[in-house]
Amino acid sequence: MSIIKFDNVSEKYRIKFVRENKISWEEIWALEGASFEIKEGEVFGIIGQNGAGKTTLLKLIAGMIIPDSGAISVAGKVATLMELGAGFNAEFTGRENIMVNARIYGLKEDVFSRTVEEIIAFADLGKFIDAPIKYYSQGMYMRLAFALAIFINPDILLIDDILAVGDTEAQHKCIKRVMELKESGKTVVVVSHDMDMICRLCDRALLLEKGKVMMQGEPEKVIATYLEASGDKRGIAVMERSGLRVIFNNGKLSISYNGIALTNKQAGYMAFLMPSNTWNFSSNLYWEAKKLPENKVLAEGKSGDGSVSQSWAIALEDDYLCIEAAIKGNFKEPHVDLMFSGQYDNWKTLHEDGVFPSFMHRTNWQDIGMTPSLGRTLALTGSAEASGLPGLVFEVADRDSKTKLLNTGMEFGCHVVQLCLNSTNSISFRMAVFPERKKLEEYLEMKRSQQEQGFGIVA
Amino acid sequence: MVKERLHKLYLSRRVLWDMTVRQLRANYAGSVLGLWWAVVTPLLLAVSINFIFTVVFKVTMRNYYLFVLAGIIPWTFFINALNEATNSFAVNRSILKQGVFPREIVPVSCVLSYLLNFFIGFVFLLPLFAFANLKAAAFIPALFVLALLEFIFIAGLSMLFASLNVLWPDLRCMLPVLFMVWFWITPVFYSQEMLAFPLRWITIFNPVTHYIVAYQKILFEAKMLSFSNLLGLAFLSFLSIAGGGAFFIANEAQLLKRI
Repeated sequence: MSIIKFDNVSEKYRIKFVRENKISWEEIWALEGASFEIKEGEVFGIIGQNGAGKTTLLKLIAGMIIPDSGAISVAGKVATLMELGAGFNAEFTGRENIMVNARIYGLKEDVFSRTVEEIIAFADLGKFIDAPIKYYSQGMYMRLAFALAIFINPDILLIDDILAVGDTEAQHKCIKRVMELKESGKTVVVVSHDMDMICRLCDRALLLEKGKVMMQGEPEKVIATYLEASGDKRGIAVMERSGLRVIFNNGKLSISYNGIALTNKQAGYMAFLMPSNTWNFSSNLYWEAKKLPENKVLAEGKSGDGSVSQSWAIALEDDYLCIEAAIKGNFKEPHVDLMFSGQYDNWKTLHEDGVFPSFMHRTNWQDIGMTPSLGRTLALTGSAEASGLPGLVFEVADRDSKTKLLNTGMEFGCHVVQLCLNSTNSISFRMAVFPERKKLEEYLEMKRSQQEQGFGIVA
Repeated sequence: MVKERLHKLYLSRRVLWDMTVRQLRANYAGSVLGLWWAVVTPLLLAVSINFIFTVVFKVTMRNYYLFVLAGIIPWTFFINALNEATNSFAVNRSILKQGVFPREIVPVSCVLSYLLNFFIGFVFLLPLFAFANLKAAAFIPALFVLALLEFIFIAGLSMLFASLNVLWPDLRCMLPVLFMVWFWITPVFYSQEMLAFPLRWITIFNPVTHYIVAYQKILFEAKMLSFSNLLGLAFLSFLSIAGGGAFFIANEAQLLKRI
């Protein structure tokens, strides 16, 4: 049963522009023809760039504003966790604000004073509960708003990116509570820029772009669509061929196969050590990606001061992908990190194989210690074939570049193929896709016999 | 739609009451005299007007100060409530953003708090009128009805003014002048009979006049209001609440965006 329903809802704002003492009014559509439904008991994520209309959408659900056209039905009591100012009067004390809001939310008379005491106890603000909230820190304000939102026992809780402002403990408390609400069948709508959080918490997600609903569905897919489109448009190129989809987005390379993301959200990138001994990444450069005929992309990136430049040439064939990457300038230890989904837990070279160990640390990376000399042909396979995850074979053309396998920390949960650049600061490799395990084994067998006969690697 | 809104208003009566009480307290927060100001203000006004018109301009009405007092109390109720309510959307911005309650409560609670204020003042000033003319005390029930009608009248205007204040910022600059002119064209310190006819139309077209005159009739002349009198006032009050309410509802969506 849907608890929130938007039917072709539009909301526009008239905005005053003052330029060189000339005043002009423009109409801006904050939301345009939005239609969607949220089911009871769902945790629903809303993502999109700043100014996409996310907060407007939440405000419409909360009834804080009224749509200019379209119909909204919301069946239940709504509580909101929004930025400072919404629903709280800065001049009133914490206690007064709680009283006013508890009343507005229609708390029953017989439990009113007890509930107010409970909220105050949960917020745990000490003597600050009797100080005007303009003197509160962001964290204190959040605790108060959160306590209120929980104890008025809403059917629907709206959370507007507020999770980002608290410290780790406050965030954790929030997430824990969202989980509890979900378990008790409450509906939660979350707006967040933290894609990991959306991915972990939400059952479904919705992508907004310039006030329009671009996509809704499984969080993973919606997030992937969002990430490929966000960023400077000049640095984005998308290629697709027989199920294989490659997106180069301002120095990040993501790969998917038949809609399944092979790379994690961190994608693939080139890392290099700056003279100041800090790591920098290709995603920090300014990119221009040119699409060439026959599924080829040439991307050039420069750092802001021009001290480092990179070029990537990517070619997509039916079942493999060729990448040549080079870097110039002032840096050390350049390498390419390809961050693959944690489901790829088996690796194989021509003569060895093994399993990625389980993640050891929370954030630290861990070298799984594969013999580097054998790294020029490398296969990755998932343990569960049924998931549709294809096997991957990497072949590095350069003889003097090393390959490493690493685990990221638990938080990213990726298995990393790290390809070090050769002595001329370039690398050329290909990645072939094998949907069938048997084909992959046959291919490796062929490579093995070629190597024994003394052939080189065909890249 | 009207029925639905009224029902919601009824459900939120506790919010209305809480906001009213808080407003009443806020008006005198920190002052030493506190609620006594409700008594002192009209007295000071009456004394000063009495001085100007009996000493300086030599008005020769018997018990002139009582006449002025009878008009000035409902007038201060009107003007203070309307003034406060006009700013109420801006002041209570944060609560309006909460969304789950009928927003007309905000200006109406302002007016209600001044109604209480008005009653408090009256409790102490009534003996003055009764002392001059004992009969006036007999009409207390009529006074209540009159105050209620005036409250409805102001509540309607308050919704109009509060909405206009958000939608049309010039209103804020215009209000002081508007209120002053409004005071001069309301027969508070003069009686309508003092005006010759073409001029008298101005006061007749001013709706506040009819409420003030009714108060003067009860308190100063100690006469009962006629039924047609009451009916006319009820009609004015209805017109105000219906018009103000309709204006507010029609502009509510726009209003919320501008706050």
